[in-house]
Amino acid sequence: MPKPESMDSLKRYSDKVFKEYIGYTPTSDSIRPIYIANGLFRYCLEEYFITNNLHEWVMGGRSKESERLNAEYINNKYKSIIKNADYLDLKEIDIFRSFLEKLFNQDGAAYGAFNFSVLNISSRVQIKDHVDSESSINKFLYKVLAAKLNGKQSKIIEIINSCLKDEDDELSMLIKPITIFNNMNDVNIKKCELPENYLNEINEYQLTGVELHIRKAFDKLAENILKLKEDKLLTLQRVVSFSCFSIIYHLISKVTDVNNKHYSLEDRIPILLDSGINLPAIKFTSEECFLFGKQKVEEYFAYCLSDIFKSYGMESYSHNQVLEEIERINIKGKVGYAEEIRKSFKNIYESFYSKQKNIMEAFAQAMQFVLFTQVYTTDPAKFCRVLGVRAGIVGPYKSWGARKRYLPTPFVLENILLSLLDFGEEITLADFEDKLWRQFGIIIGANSDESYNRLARYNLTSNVPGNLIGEFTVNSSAIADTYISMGYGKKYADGVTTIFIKG
Amino acid sequence: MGAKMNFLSKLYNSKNCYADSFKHEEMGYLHVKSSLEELIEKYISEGKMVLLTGNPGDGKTFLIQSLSKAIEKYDVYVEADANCIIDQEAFVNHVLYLHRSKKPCIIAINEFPLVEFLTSLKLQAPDLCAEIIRQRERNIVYDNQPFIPLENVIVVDLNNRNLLDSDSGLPQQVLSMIIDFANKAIIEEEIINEAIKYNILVVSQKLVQERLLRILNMISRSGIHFVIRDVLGMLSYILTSGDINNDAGVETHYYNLLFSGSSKIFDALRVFDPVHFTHPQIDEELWNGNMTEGWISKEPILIPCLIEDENDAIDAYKSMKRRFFFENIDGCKLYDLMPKEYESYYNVLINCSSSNDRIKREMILGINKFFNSNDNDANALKIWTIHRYDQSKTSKAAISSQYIDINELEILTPKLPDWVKGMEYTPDHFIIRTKAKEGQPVQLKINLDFLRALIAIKNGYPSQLIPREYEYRLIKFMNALKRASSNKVLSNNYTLLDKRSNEHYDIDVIEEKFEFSRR
Repeated sequence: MPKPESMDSLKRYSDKVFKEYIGYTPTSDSIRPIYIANGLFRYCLEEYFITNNLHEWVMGGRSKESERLNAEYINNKYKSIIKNADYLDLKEIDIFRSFLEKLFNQDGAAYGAFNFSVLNISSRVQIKDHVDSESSINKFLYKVLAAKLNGKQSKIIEIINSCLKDEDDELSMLIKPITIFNNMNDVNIKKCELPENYLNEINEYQLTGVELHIRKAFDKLAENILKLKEDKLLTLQRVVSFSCFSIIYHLISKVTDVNNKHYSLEDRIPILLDSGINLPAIKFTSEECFLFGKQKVEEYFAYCLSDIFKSYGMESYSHNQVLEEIERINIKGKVGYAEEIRKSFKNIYESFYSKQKNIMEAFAQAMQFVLFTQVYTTDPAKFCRVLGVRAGIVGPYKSWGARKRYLPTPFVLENILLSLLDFGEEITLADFEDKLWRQFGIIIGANSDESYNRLARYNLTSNVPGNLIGEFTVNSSAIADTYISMGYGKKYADGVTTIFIKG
Repeated sequence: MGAKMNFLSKLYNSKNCYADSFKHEEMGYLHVKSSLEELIEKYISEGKMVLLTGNPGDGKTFLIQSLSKAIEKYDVYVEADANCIIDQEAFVNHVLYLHRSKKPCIIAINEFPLVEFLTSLKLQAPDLCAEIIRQRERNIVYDNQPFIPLENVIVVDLNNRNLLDSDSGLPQQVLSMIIDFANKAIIEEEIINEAIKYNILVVSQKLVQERLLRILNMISRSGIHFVIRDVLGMLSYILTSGDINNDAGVETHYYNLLFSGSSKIFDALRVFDPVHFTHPQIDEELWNGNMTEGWISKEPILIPCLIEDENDAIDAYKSMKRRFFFENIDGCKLYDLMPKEYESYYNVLINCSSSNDRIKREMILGINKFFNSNDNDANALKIWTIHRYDQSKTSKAAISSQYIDINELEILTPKLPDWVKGMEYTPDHFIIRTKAKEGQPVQLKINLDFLRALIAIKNGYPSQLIPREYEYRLIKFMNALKRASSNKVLSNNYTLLDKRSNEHYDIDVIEEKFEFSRR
């Protein structure tokens, strides 16, 4: 179809990539796991709660109206839920509120301004309506989970609902007076209507490639959660942690699904997990893997753009027509000066074109480059870093300036395991790594030669300081030790290490 | 050098120390009577299938060899090494045939090959497979619930066997056997290395053996699993230094070799090296050459303080101190200086039932203080909830409104199940668990290191500094306690904890109202 007139700006192209290809908008450095939780939980439950009262108690003191929303205000407004309100020392309310903030703002996503704020979620009464920072990740995840696989939705949805409907956790019970305050006829509960076209999309959605891997992993995680019968708060944490991992995996790996010229079905983008025991070669290579993963995000984005151009018949554009298009397109950069960006856009396009002589690819790459460097404050590649750190997948956590690598917390390692093995299954460490590779492209070093070859394929083994092959064994052994200390493995005296899931 | 001495020296460090490579005659040299032999003989006489499992060096082949007469008598099928079976399917079929024919058999198989065997067995004989798994899972037990092995199969897990368990008399037996063997070698063979001869003759002395067994007894309580190979290798090394033809310049004295070998058992022994323990009077007399009384062998000739080279002098002093411990009547004065941790821990384990309340209080206090350093309650285990999604931060806060009363908790030590009672065993951990009213009890396993950590926290050590592994275990324990409803006391009082400042705040929620009554 011909290019619509509305496609007249960089932003439109960018929006189209996010909406029709990626499925969410990974451009916020405010992204936090709790936002993903809020959105996903709301979609699974198909309802949300009016959390204004709770927000007033927890964060009112931080808002612009903090002077008004003081202890006296709280005491007066909420008199009916405060025993002996008339004789209360108001300092008690201040102290209580400060502790409430610590409990309900553990993730640092609660602010004075209600619209941007999400409080800690332990049950349905803390789930609020949409916040922008959700970045539509919930839409993508829910689609993957709700799509029919073997005729069924993922059991994870049922598990999430069951956990959220249980309000018997201490956090929910503590704030019960607030959540039921003035709650006549459950006015605080609102239905979350999922748009019909979205539901139709889900009905027609065929899971393939990376999305299929994600779905299968969630289904396995659900099976194991049901067998392990864990505390509901831990279950919710697991689901959200694995959701974050899935998003990062999706972003860096999606290019293998779409670019058939360079990637086959068996290809994976390597994710080398560092055990964190200071192995210089592993550290360096894991950093290179993470950088490589971010490059794959860029590559995928460029692919999406070139696909859009093709869909508009722009394949037939000549070199000059592209230059005219660049001239015409509306540009709004992160720091003013559209014309400077335009100039830069042209130069970059010319540079790519001179190298590869493929007009559409050069145009797409140039547009991607400009978007990532000049338009987005946080581009999708950087997004992986932001979300990865907050989800405990990428580290080091505290030094924001340092080169990042795949440095998963034990909790993340545990969730990956639970998404992979059957309950009761016991396999060797080497077989475990094979499964990790086939499912996610994860390498731990249990099979030294294969690990090396998988990395070498993408030139990730050059200039590595130290003995990478030697460190593979040490690295995988340390990761195995983490699993063993959590009760998921055993080292036998004849040199075999097994990984398993048992009750 | 004669065959006997060659054989003895090669027991150290994996040279000839797998029974598979011993000749039958050589196996005879190493026979140590164990209570397990009687047990297994009983089972094979009843026509049972005995699965001997464990790890390399645990003594499976030794056991089979020592049962040779019984094996012949009862026409027992023996698979002495099921680890190397290539045709797994054929082996499984054969085992099933034997099982169905109720023919007694002994199958020796290491732990991991057993896992693989069971994977194949499950398809053909799920009940038999399930029973083997059931027995493996109950290879140590905490309660007295009766358990009858079914399917005519008995699983004997040698992983749990403690060869250094002094109550069984096995260490003494092994030591006597090796010394007797070594003495025979001296008598029978003409050429013998003088250093080895010295070692054998001195270690044959009752006092030296007593001191050596005392140290072995102490390490037997460490919880570390030593296989027969470790013990035999250690004894071989201290007598022969592993190389009977060694020349000058290499250490040969047993008392130095005991603390210089390289294996798990030597690492454990080094903790008890007499050199570490200061006794001012003894140390001075040894240094000045004034320790002249009480030696059961020749008085030392070297006087360390007169040796010119400082390093040589120190080495000579260390050597002398070790020798003093083993060969001087007053060497026992160094016992009191040796670490008592293992001993104390062992006493906790064996006296659990009588000191139950005291240990429970210590554990409750340690766990409570891990979460809230200001909590001094030793009678109620608080159940804390920590909930967050951002994994890059440590948790800021926790909440608790539930606890478990001390009377709803029990401390238990592990023991062997009935069907292997009599096997040499020393518990290496205990558990604190809820008394099960319905469903499975919730338990927390505590070994020596974990106990140390909890006691340190109880005494004020910051909980942030304990190893992550224990933090993880405690949080998992809390999560499991939350799920288990039957033992908990739910209250209307909520304790909110600021984990960074360790301040806490109490509030009641009664009839859906806040009651601000406490600070």
